[in-house]
Amino acid sequence: MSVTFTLNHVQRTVAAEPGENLQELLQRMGVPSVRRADDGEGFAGADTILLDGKPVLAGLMIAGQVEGHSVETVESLMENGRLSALQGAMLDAGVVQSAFTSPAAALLIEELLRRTPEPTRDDVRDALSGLWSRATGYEQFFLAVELARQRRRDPSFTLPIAEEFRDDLRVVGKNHRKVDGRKLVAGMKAYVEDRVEPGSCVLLMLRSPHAHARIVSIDASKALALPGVVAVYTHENTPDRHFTTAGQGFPEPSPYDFRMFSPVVRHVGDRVAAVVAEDARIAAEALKRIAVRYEVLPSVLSLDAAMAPGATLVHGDHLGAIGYQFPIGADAGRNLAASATGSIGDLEAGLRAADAVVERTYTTSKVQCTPVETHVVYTRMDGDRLVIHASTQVPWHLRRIVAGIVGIREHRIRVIKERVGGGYGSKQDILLEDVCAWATLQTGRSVFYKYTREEEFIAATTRHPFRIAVKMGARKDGTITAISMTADADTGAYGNHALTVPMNACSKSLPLFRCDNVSFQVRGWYTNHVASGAYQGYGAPQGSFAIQMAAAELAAELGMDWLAFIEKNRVHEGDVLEILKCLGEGRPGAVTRVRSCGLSRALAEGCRSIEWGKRETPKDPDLRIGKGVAIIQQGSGLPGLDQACADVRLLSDGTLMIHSGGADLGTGLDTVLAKIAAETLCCDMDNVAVLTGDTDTTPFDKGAYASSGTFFTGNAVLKASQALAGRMLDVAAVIMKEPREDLSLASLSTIRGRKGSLSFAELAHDASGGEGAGELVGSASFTTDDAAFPYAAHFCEVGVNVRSGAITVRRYHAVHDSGTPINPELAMGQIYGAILKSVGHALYEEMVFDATGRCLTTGLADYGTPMIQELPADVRVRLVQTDDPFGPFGGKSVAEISMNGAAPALAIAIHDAVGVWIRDWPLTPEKILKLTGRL
Amino acid sequence: MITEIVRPRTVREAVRAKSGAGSVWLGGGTWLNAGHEEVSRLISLADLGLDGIDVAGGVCTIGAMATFQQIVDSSLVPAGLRDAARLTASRTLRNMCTLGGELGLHPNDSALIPVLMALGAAMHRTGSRKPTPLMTWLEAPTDDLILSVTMPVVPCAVAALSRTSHSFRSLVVAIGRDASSGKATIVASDCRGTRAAFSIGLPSDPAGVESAVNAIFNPKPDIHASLEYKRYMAGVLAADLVARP
Repeated sequence: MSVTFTLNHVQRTVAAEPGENLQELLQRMGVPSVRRADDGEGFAGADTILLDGKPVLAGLMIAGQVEGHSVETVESLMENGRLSALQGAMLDAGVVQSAFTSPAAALLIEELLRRTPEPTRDDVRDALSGLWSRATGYEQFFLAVELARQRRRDPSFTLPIAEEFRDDLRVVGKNHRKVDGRKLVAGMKAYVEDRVEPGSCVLLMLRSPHAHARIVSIDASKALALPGVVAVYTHENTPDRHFTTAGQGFPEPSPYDFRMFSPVVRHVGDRVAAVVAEDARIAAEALKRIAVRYEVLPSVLSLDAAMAPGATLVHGDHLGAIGYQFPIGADAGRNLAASATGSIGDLEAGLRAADAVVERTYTTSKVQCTPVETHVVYTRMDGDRLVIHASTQVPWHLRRIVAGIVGIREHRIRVIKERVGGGYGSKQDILLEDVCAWATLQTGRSVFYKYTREEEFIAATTRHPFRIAVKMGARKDGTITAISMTADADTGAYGNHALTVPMNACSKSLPLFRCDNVSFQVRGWYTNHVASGAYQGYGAPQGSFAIQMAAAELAAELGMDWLAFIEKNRVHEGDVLEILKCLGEGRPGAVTRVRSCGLSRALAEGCRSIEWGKRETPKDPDLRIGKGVAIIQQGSGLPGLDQACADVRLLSDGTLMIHSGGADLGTGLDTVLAKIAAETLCCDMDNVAVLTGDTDTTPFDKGAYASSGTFFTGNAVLKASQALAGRMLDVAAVIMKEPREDLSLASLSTIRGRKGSLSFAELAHDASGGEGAGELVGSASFTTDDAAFPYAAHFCEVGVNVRSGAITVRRYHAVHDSGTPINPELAMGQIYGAILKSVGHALYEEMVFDATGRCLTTGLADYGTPMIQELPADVRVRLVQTDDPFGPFGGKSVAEISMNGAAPALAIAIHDAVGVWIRDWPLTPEKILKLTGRL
Repeated sequence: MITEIVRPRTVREAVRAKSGAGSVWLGGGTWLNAGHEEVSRLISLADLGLDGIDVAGGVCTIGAMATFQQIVDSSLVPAGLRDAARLTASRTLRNMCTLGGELGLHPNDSALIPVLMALGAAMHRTGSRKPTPLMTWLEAPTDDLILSVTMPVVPCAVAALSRTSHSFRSLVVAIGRDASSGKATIVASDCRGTRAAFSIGLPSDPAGVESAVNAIFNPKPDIHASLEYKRYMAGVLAADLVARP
């Protein structure tokens, strides 16, 4: 059949199957911006279009439904190739981050402003009610709408976007549009799925229905006989090499316990077989034709079951084959994937010195990263080289790991990190690239594989569920005398990050309080759940929940105000963190001094803002109001372990090109790099281009994890920029015939001497000419033993209805010390996003498993992902500047820390409201009713 | 696999087109994405003019093709039903979901159906010359074409329990008040297939209603709410609805 409709104001007639999905049809018609992110659940809104002017979801429609109608996509908003005022407003407000749903957001705002020219805040919430924007936390959308509204009348209108910093700097500390924002908000091709060429194969995975089973036999002959099936891969015809999926620095502190395919499946959703076919429909049919006989084995579905003497072993079938790069305290013969202990001082003496001791256990649940763009990869051959288009946080680790698995050398692999539509840690693991690479190498065919949303829940890494026992003592005056922390983590079926996440739970929570007597024990236990792994915060949210809660409970025991207790014990600038000598990443740590700490201002400003100590008596007799606060910290990369490299080159017209291995996953790292170079080299931001994350064309970088982007990658670009500046002055001195020491860089793009000046363009032209000095390049690598800790205080106010247990987050005020905020509005956007994600973890999100280990929450709605309706009425983010001596221009990290505050702050506020301590995530109304005796 | 889309201009043409296995009505279409392989022929209802909303003689009539957003936006619709439509939290989805689709699929966690039940709504459909009480139809749903739903314009209200605004619902409680008879109907849905209706006199003591609902309602648990919690909250929500002015 043919369908005739108006697409972006142009009548089009297109041949289509009667039931062809409209989103797929639009993609086929060359409209990349209408994407899918939710298996047709109707949740994410990435497939939003305007149908006759009203927003609908193309993924829930068939082609025939648009016959005779008008369809608008974000492409219609562009004006002669230029962004519309609305799209510019979104960029200015900082709401374009990982951006998979940014085109949808633009359409929704456009429709809102057409329908309601003067929208209220509630109107904005309603308009964006079908938009899932995991990264942004929504708050800045209100600013974006206001900017867009005003600019309809006055294109030059602007508002204070975010507080700016560092009057002594020209670019750093100022708000600037994200450098990759234009193509993202315009819906241009940017993601892995946009690189798929016609004729490529599709890969689908057959996954285990059992939590633990041995594959007795597997027969793919009927699948292979299906026309259009190219190959089927199982444990019988793939490499039997053990590796870890963790994209960490080599040698990794994770056990090599994973294989491309294993004869034993260890969780529901584990890999059984992969089908490569000409299209998805054939591949899906082929999956049904693979006959597998399983011998179901006893499964381990809880920490207690994993720890029990004589427990079923999750890896009992290949104990001797599991590899370790160095000792990580593992004993797979006891289901122990990794462990560590450490202490300072004398714990028992500290407890004896205490006037009050609390001993509590806290548990956290298994939660999913839920990137809007699911895991995805596209592999193809380029001659005899393998090209991997990846949505990854770790291009170099990906290349190294895949090379080892498929058995080719690294020089034959090119990894191109495309724009990442959300990672949050989950794309630090190699979850699908290995099998696609193998398929392409074996068949010579290009292969595309994109996780379904269900696969995100059953086959992608999650936050580790923890059980953390804390014993903490203090004197009557509130001085903490001893802390012990025993953290047991459910690492799931595989041990990726099994040591480092639990250690991070300690290393990012214990140093927040001064205490001379501290001990810890961490253990990562195998179970038959989908593997846990890296998730923004990396154990710190769980550790913060336990330590902050225990401290708050201890303060309550002593009758002290919680904030006064914090002030009595908290870390200060200049403190020496002795405990960190025990908390290396599987290797010896180092005693570290805190060189910058903005907690004093953060606490003071938050206290004032939230009106700490002021009690409100609500009119509703069933309502109780409570306030809470948590202090939090993170790191800035892994000093002593990681490295970043960059080069900055002067192009022949005086503009600049940065090559960095950094992996911007939507956070704005590329923008940070451009700013650092522009600031250092005295040029305009618009004259700087950034290329990152391509293993062929950019230098090595450890990747985007451990909050390392600004600190490591930023410092590498700073050093490279300084090296280039030096080289430019060397060459300019010759051209200008002035002593080098008389020359300096000056804004904009000029070298100034005592006698004259030389533009960058003139310098570059001369250098690259026939008698020139050669292309001017600055290259650098950055390693360090110095640490830069970001700090923050998160305050909140909740309302709790004592009859229903309903919890309302009325206010959430976060005050952050991220050193010098390199790009304030993007930094704030990350904090807003993390706040809502962590509020989600604390109150709503939960992976629920049945008694056989099957995940029951495989959709976004069932799982409980918060949307704009869950955004607290009053969310504020404030940045307080400190000048860290080691960060680039004093900058520290911002991405992960913001995840650490919500759970303890909310639980403490709930206690303040109704007097009960909820010690396990999520904090639900039903738990309140039970604890208060109503149920 | 869908092989054909039919676009009838009249109800009669639509009914004639609906023949044989694999033929389904195409309203908003949101259900089709689930990959129903048994579906082969779609009969589009888009051109039948079934999306009107009217009030006459104290009776509100809502066409089967009226979207949830139309219901939310119409001041002619009883407020409780508008609130129920708004419980589908995504405006984008509300632009697509139709009342007829909701009734035809009658999902367990529907927020509209308890309100319509509490209002004593009736369905107008091609398989019956007479209006069919919704409660009766739900006992033995048919596959004929739903044309419209009628309900008295009387006060009604709804309350629901879910983990988030977009999560599946664990509980829906609705009330419809008929001042002329001095009675109200409370409908509690556990969103897992159990819907219970209670008739109370007006005015009623909220505490008494809470106890009564708590004693009678026997919900099924789900992954977000235990049986005890649902039963308790059904009483709380019912009492709150009764206490509303």
